[in-house]
Amino acid sequence: MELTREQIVAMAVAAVADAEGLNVDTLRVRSFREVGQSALAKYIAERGMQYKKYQLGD
Amino acid sequence: MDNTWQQKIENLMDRRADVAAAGGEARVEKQHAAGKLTARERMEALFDDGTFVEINDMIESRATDFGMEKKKKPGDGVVTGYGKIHGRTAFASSQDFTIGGGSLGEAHAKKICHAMDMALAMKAPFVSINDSGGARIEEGIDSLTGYADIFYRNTICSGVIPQISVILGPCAGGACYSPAICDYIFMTEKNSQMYITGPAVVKSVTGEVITAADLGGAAVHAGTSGVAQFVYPDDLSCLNGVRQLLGYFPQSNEGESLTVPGVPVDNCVSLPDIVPADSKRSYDVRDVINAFVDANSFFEVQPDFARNLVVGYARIDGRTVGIVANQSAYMAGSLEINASDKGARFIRFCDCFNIPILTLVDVPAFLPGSQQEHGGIIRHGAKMLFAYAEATVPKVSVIMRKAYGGAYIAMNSKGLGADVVYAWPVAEIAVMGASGAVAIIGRREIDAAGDPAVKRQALIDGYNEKFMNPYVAAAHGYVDEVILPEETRRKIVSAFDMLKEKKKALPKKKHGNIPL
Repeated sequence: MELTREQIVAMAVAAVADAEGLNVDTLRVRSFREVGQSALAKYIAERGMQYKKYQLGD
Repeated sequence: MDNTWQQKIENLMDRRADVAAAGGEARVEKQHAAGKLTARERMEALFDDGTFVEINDMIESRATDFGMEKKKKPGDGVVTGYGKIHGRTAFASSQDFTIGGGSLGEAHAKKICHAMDMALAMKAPFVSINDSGGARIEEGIDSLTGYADIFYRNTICSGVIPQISVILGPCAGGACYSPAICDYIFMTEKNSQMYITGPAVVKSVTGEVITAADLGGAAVHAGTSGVAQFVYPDDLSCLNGVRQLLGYFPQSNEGESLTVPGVPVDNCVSLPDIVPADSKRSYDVRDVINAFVDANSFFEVQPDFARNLVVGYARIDGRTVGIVANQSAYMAGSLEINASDKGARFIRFCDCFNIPILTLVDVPAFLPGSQQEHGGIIRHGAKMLFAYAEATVPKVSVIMRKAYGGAYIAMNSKGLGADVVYAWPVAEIAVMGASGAVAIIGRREIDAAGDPAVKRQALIDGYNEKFMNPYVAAAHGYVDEVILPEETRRKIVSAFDMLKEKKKALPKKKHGNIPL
């Protein structure tokens, strides 16, 4: 089932409210923008590469 | 929001899109097809997710000669900025091969210099990613001065902040001198090239025909010239290697390395199985190292160059140490020109950045022969001695087996300033091996003997009995304690713990004059 843009925004707002402990009914969305996949993420996904960024303790 | 605001914002968004497009889709595709990331993709791979902040993205060339005003692009072929690596600030530059072949002009150099100046002011590491066709000919002497400005800063920053150079494309001519002054050079197997003079000019001047890879590829610089320290298959793994290396270092010469909790390892009971008591039999000293450093923490530096000396970083109880170790498995662990250069450079980096040094000794000699003598082993070997003597960081040695002659002195001996020297019971600390010593001091007795062979053997046995042990050195105070191999880790940990607050001042001077 493909979600509409409004449904995606509503889910995002609910997630933020939940994370911040806020009442979702009091929240108002002033603006939003879609953050696309980064160029690097696209490069890796297009080539099906296995990549994990090195973290301390790895 | 009124219309003017809206227009200005849209104008800015258009400019940002122009910057992000770099050299255009076709050139980005070509970069990818060559197995190379773009400049910004490299920054994303280098820094912690979401932390990279680009600066000076709209700087442009002011040049107008040779139609430059029509060719200029925002950013001028290099991406610069800062971000976090393991949560700590670092600065970087990444040349953009999709714009003018990443060629360096005045504005390009100015961007890099600005980022370097900020790194120095913030006392944070600087990483320079090189992928450039070289000086921008159209900008003439302004390009050359740009390089000089960068080299000057590399020099001023040296020993203050860690500087890492990552060669992910061509790096030719004078451009090589920035990486050369940096602390560490990373290369990739297929795409990295470094040479002062490229194959075409080499052929026209000398007649020699040679490929770019054979002249200055990664294998050459990692294994033959010793210019590079790390080689990886591709951009992503290479930048991961940079992240791994930076995890061992402090931010600057004023700081300490991070403590990174790991899995402590103490397999020292197995050391007598790893290291044969017979000093003529070889072993891999990396097995010794891995018996007592934290699990998987040993990060070898320059593994393919001067393999007779192993150097690298490890953690013991989470704390970084630099390790210098003779590699018995290669040339019996002897010291020679290349190993001396490798060791000296490593020791001096550790000293610059407050990293304690652990030295594992099993060295028969400086390699003899005319090749070494004519190559200048005297001045190269002196570098090791100078580096150890000048280093004021905690220095601990473990003499495992052989420690003969001048090579024994050079491997962080007590006289050179080692803080603590341990020796195993099988250690042999002497001027030279028994055969060589007896041939000199027992010559007359052997010549006069009825059976010279028997006499010679008797003298060798006597020499072995008296000198081929650690106890003469212990009796004279050159060894602090003779320890069991199974005690090695505990003793090293306690020594470095005791030395934690070591502060040692050198006589006031501008700088020493290390033999070069």
